Amino acid sequence: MADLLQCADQPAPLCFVPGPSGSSRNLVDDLERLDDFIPITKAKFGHTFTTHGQNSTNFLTQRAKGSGQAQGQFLDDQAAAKFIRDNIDKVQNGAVSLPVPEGLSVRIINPDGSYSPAATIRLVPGGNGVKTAYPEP
Amino acid sequence: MWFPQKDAKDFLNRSLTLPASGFEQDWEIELADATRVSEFVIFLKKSRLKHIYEEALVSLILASFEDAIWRESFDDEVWNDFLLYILSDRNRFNDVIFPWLADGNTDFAISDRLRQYFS
Repeated sequence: MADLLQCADQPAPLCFVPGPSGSSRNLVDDLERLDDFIPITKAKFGHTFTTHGQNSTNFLTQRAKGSGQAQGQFLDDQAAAKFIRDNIDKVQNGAVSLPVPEGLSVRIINPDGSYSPAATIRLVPGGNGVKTAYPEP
Repeated sequence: MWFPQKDAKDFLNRSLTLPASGFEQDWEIELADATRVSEFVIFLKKSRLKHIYEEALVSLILASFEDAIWRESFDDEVWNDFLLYILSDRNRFNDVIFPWLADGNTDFAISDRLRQYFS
């Protein structure tokens, strides 16, 4: 925010502010990243990221072990949120399983604690988007 | 974090004829049904269930109430009936209710109603 204030009265393309290591970075890049940021709300994403998000490894490991059922995990919440947002029109008639797109970081946590690749991503409609979504074996 | 046990899911899939595939990772969320919430609450009250079955059913009911709010079919009378049951032993379902309380910043539709009684 301090960076933004520094540049408040200058045209963005001309405004450079010091980066963490003293290098300069263009404020336009920062604003583009902000533009791309998707707020993770329960209304839009339901339980997706509290249950299957990048910080859910321990929970999913326990649930896989306890239930005997493999569990899917998104390893980059923002990238997953973009995938869900871009495919939300496909759930109009109910839940769907879509192939994992190249570059989306996901994995399956198996009951024995090992990891394996996911084949599809399940989107379950609800709320104002999905009520849950997760990678499937 | 709490999750429903396989035995409980199998029992409720059979008893309530839920349309389960067996591959649901989020069983209670995926099989929630806003149109059957009243039936689920009656089953909860009338059946003397083992605690792990009861917990799983409460989680299914909470997810169904959440769906009902989004579908604008929430029934206060059924909700009050359900609340009376779970408040009769306030701490019994804490683990099941906790994930629905959220954090106040980004809530589930049902979070506010639960926070009035649980925290």
